[in-house]
Amino acid sequence: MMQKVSAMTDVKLRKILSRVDKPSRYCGGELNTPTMKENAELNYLLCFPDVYEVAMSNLGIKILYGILNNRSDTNCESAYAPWSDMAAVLREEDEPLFSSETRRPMNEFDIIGFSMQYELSYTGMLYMLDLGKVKLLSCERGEGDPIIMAGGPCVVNPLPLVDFVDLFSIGDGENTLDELAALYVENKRAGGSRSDFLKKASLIDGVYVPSLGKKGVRRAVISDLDSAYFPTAAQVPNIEAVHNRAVLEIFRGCTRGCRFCQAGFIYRPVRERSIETIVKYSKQLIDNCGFDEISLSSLSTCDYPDLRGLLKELKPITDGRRVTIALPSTRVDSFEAEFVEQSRKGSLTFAPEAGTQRLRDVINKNVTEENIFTSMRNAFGKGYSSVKLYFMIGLPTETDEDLLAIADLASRIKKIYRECGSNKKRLTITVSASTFVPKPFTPFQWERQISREEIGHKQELLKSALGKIGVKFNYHNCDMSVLEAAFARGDERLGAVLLSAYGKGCVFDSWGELFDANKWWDSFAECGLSPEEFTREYSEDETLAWNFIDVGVDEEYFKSERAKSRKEETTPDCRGNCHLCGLQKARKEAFKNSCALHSKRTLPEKC
Amino acid sequence: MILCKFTKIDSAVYTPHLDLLREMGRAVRRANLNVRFSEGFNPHMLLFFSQPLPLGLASTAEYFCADSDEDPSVFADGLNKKLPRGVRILSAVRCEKASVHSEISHAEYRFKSEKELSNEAIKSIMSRTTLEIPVKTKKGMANSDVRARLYSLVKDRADVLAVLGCGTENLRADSFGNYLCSEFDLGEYAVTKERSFISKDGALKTVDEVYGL
Repeated sequence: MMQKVSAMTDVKLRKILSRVDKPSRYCGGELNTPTMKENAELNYLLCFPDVYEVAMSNLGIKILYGILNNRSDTNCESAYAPWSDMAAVLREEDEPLFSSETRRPMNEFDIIGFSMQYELSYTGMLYMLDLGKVKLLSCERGEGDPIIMAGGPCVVNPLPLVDFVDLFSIGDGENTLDELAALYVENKRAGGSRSDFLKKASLIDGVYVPSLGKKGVRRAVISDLDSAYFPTAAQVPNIEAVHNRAVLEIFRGCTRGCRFCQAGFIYRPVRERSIETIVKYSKQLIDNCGFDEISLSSLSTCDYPDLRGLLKELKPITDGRRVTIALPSTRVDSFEAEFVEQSRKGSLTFAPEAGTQRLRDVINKNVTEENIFTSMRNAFGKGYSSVKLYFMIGLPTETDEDLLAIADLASRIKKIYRECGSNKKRLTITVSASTFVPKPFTPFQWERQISREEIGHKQELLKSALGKIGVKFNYHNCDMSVLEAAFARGDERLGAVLLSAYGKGCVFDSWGELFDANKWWDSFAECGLSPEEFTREYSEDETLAWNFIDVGVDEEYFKSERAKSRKEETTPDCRGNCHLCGLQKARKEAFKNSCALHSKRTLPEKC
Repeated sequence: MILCKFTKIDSAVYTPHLDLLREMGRAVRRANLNVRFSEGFNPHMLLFFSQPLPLGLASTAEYFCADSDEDPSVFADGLNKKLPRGVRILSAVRCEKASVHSEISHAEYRFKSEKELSNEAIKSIMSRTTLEIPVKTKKGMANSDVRARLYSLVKDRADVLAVLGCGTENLRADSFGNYLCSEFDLGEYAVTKERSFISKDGALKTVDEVYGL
């Protein structure tokens, strides 16, 4: 409740900012920052538990920030995890973490929302709350304290965070947050209490309130993306962000069904924006933000139904304004040769994920070697001379042979370059291999994660095989992968581990140089736990801790997909061939608007 | 070519030089103004900036040139609708060359401190033949004789106005401010660059006078 308003003065801010690196992370004033209303009834602080440059590259919080600020009764401000130098100054000056817009202390906001995009940012949430002088534990907060919310892909399994979060928003946040804001204002006007609000909030689609017990919670799904709000006048960061470009979401969801991919299941069904809308938004983005690049973002951009049509419409507009178009998440098999010709000859990025066809069939990455080689021939012919390849290690059923095939693939790409390359430069190939992390709500949610020793062995094997043929090899810290797996499939017991690790100084865990594995393993041990309890193979007979959340895809469907993986059977793209994953029952409206329109197969009547 | 005079005040004082360049380029694109691009592999917008202002310092006398045929006032008005807080184009004129910034030899800074600097202190500083102060260098702090780079030092009510060397004979205003405040115990201070000068026939003329801004 926002009776007290104690925004920091200019002099104080100047004093603090004179002592830190990159002060423009904290001073606000970004272009397109909305003017805060004088008498807002809900003061919402939207937080991202990582530094400014990372946060400013996230589209989700820009969408929610816009939706909340468009409400006449709400002010939404923002705060990001301050770097350690700023945290030290804040502590020394005994100043709480403050919002960028009005420099109001965090603990004076009504609701504080966190966007949880990756497991290794969990301590960032505790760090920010702590710096904002907000009580960390949900059970210790009461009337007058801020309500802590969390959303984002990680919270499809909210359990590791239940000790700290009062309310989760699971799934698409657009409608949920708008409804929550309306409810908050209504409850406040009616003189309702904090618990009144939480009780009523739990009835909103996508909302999970841990204090009210593990009742079934449905993931919120917006049924139409074309009419959904999109922030074409989002804030432009003061300093260079990780992604220094405008991001335009052209569709949400993915029809491919790769069995390891959580995003592929928890964002179902695919919902698209029309060419007309995308073109309109692109013009607005150029007028409002002015970036020299627009990224047409999605989980698999080349699967946009009429990408050629879209680019044909878009190119003259972007060319005229000297803006380039970037297509991220390009799949090997859908690479557009025409596009290559028109864009800068930078580096090509492909993600075959596994070295052999057999293993690609296991994971349902429906890409063949021929697809890869055709794309390479095209690209090399157009002058590309640098290729990045992404793989995973530790996938179910993987053998050393599958790994060595990665090196083989790289040497064959080299051969193709010798045959088709049109650039005089030497070819550079970079292979990156991340470690497979089994995630909830995927066919591989029961799989074990390989041990640290196995990860080490596989990395060494690849390193030596790729070293011999002069290919650069990047790989992940194995402890970070284990921690990610533990938190992805963890339960309520992990709250204590998180608290303990934060107490030992763990923060910014996704920043390699600050990650301290030993502190984490000590914290697990102190809580009588081990990460192996969460990286083991889960039995299909046990009740999965996160299954009270209904993402819309049936557990039986995941089981059948897992069984198919063991038979090395693939499941084709569900566009044109609906596999009845469960959405037809769970999300009828969204299903009708998307899957049903794309399915060429006759669907059972009940759909 | 268009020469623009602009401010860097408010929260924009914390925007690093390279980010300011980027932001100005984006503002040109937002405003849909025509500025020429370089030729070659990675074409970039032809904007030419005066030398970087140390982070945290405000200025109401920054300059850049844009290779553009737009009408200068249209250019300035267009940009002003699309610039972030603290960055404002004050005036714009057509000019022949892109290198105005390289002619700037001195700049005048206003120091506002918690406590007032005495006239005696000013006299004593100006009467010295050498003035060793700690200055920021690429390798960290080092003592340097900056007397030759201190052109004038006067009071303006409670404030101090100092004309310091800029460009090749540069004296950072924050180094000088730190010296003043610690040496004479003035407390916290804030600096604003208010005028930039070009040395002409042995005298200093403001950029505005020389180019008719």
